[in-house]
Amino acid sequence: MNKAGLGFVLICAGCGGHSGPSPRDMQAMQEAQMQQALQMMRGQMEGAQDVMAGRDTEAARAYKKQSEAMALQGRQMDEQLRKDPKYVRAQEERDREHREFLRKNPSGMETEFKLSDAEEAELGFGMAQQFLSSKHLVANAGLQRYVNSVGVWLTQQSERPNLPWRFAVIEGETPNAFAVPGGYVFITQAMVALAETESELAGILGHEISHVVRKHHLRWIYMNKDLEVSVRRAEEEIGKTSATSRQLFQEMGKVVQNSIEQMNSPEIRAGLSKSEEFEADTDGAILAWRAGYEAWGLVAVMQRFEAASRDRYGSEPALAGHPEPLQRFKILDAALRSRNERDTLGEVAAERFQAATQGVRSHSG
Amino acid sequence: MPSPRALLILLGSCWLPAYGADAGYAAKAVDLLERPGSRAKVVTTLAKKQPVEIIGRDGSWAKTKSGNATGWVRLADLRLKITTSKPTALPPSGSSRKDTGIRGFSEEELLVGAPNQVEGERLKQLGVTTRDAAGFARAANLRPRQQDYIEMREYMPEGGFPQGFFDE
Repeated sequence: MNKAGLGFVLICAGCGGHSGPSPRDMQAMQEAQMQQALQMMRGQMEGAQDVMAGRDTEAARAYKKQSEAMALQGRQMDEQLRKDPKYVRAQEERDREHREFLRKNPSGMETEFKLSDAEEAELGFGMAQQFLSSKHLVANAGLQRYVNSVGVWLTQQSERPNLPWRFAVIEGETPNAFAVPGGYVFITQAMVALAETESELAGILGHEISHVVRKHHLRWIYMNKDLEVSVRRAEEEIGKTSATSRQLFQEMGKVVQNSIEQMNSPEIRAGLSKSEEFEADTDGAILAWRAGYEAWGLVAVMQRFEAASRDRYGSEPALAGHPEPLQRFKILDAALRSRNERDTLGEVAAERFQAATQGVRSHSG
Repeated sequence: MPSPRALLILLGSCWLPAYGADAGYAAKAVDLLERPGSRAKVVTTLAKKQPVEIIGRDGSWAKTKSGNATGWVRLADLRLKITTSKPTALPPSGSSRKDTGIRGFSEEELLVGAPNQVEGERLKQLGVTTRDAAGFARAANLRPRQQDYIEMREYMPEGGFPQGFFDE
């Protein structure tokens, strides 16, 4: 939702992308839509920014309403175009290309980041060493090996199986888990103790692995660069259609550029990192499932998380950028329920987990 | 032909916690069902905030006890009570604070002290080979399966979640 504003602009501006010369009516509709998008962008930039920052303002509501109207129009246009088999074929081809693209660039960014995996790992290792200045690994080789076995098995189901993945259980009475670029994942012993089955541990590790796979940490550094490239690419495509489209697009580009500059506000960054948390939740659950576990482990942990944190959040509105555990719990539940139930069930491996983590659980429990 | 759920239950996917029951309550008025699955027979109806004990879990279903009645409720329709045996504090998981690239920890926490090379070396010694990980998976009957990630448009209703979706 957060990125919907800009994403929409780019998708809208780029449509007609790979399908070659478009029929005239399609172009006219495109131009009409671009015109509308441009108008909306000019008038509603404030609303777009409020939406991205998660502020519920008049402008944000107006923006949402208009986005919905445009989405509806887009669907109607699509419906009409779908009557043409040529359009359907082109659409299928584009979907295929998109899936292929995601396989190569799991971060979903247009420009693959300039860092090689080795460079990313080096960067991450430096961050890890810095982090370890105040934290210590739990001295329990059996436990460390167990958590690494679960973690490495999960990474083999991810799009980045070849990073030098390391999973470290660190001392700490507060349940927490996190990752740095390059494949270094940390989990406090209190977080391990919050899980009750291996599938639940897999859900937590899956969430952290997903941050690394999607390169969430690196995304901000490269985001502006990436937008530039997408804009340039879309510009080339649009250039092939008509002078009107080209001109409209250039004007849209200016508005986008403006909004990018305003996007570095802390609130908007927090809004984006919130959506990354939701993404890591759903990805993590699916990674666990791919690895043979049930997908519900993370939901179960989140439920305990929610109870444990109710004191902290109480009934106050969520702080900007901190998705409330209850919100994450509900969203992940809704996401998994969108799948066929049999595509969410699997092993829980409770006994193995209980045996391997006994030391930590009796320590924290 | 038994359903995939039935087969999985036979394989032992339902897990009964060894440590005892979790105390909780119904998040809203909800039916306690005879079996996991929305078409199962209703045992009784729980009132909003009615206290329950959660005695097991099967995927998204919690085996739940309320008074003399036992049955199944969606995990999402239950809330756990805050228990003293579980940690009560939780650090922020997002980052409205300055983004350090390490989620869940602030810059202040990270910039204390010099990089710890000894712990760094210990970190490097961790990890297992992919071969060992595959053996580990086989030992628990974990078989790799393919499934695409869930995209937001698959579960997000048009125009976002309905008003009050997150309110309790």
